[in-house]
Amino acid sequence: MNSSLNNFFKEERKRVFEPGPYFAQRVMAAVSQAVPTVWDVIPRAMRPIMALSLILLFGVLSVQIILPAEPAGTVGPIMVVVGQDLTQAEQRFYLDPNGPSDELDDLNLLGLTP
Amino acid sequence: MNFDRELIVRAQAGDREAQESLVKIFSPMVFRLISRFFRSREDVEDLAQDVFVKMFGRIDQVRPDENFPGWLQRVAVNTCYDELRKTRRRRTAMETFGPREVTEGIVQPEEPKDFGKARLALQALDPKLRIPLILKEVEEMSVEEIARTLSITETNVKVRLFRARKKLAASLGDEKK
Repeated sequence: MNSSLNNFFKEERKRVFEPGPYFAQRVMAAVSQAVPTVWDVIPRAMRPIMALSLILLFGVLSVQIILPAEPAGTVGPIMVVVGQDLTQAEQRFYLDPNGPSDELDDLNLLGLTP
Repeated sequence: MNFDRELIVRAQAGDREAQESLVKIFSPMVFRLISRFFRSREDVEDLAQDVFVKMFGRIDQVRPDENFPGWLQRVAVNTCYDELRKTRRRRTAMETFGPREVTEGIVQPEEPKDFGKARLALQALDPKLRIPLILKEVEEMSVEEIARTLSITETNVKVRLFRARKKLAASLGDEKK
């Protein structure tokens, strides 16, 4: 390194600011005014876990929002074709989301109609 | 540095007297360190205050056997690094070896012409290179101490020092042409 640079660094060593007489009070006032954020309150070791949980939560929520929910109780194109060959009791059994409604339907399906 | 480690335990428990004592004991060290990177007294005071506010915010992380002055040095250097990066982006006059035109209006003692060139060459350096160089050349830290302070490997420090010196030599060489 050239000598002018070395001299410059030597000069820089002499350039030092000293704290003023009220600096400590100023710091203490700033410390008492500092409001901790939610992130500060969480212990450091917990922060990555919290961050990961938040990312997963937002991910799931955005998937829920972006992907359209399948409407409940609707008959799809396959069932429309297949459904033509089913009896009324079988249709109720397969297509009714609440399942067979009564004992008579069950007996119909089993061919045990009285 | 001699100090009562009991002060840290008391400060961790929220004892304001102990906290104030810690500020009084360590403020000269923090001021000296920040002075290496910033030239205006106001900047140095503001940053030193930030360092102590951060220190009290994280003081519960300090282990009883930890080198407290070293830990505080790390907080101070990281604060300077963040500020230098911000000021570098904003390109304001607060930057370390500030632009000459900003200080023209302020009465300053005369300095040799070469020093001005050196200041400008250092100003052009990336804080990533400037900080290790100043810690080595001005603060006279060892490579090991710099590595510990910046939380990087010794090899990384050596690489940064080499690049900083090379860039400085190139820019000072260009000035002479």
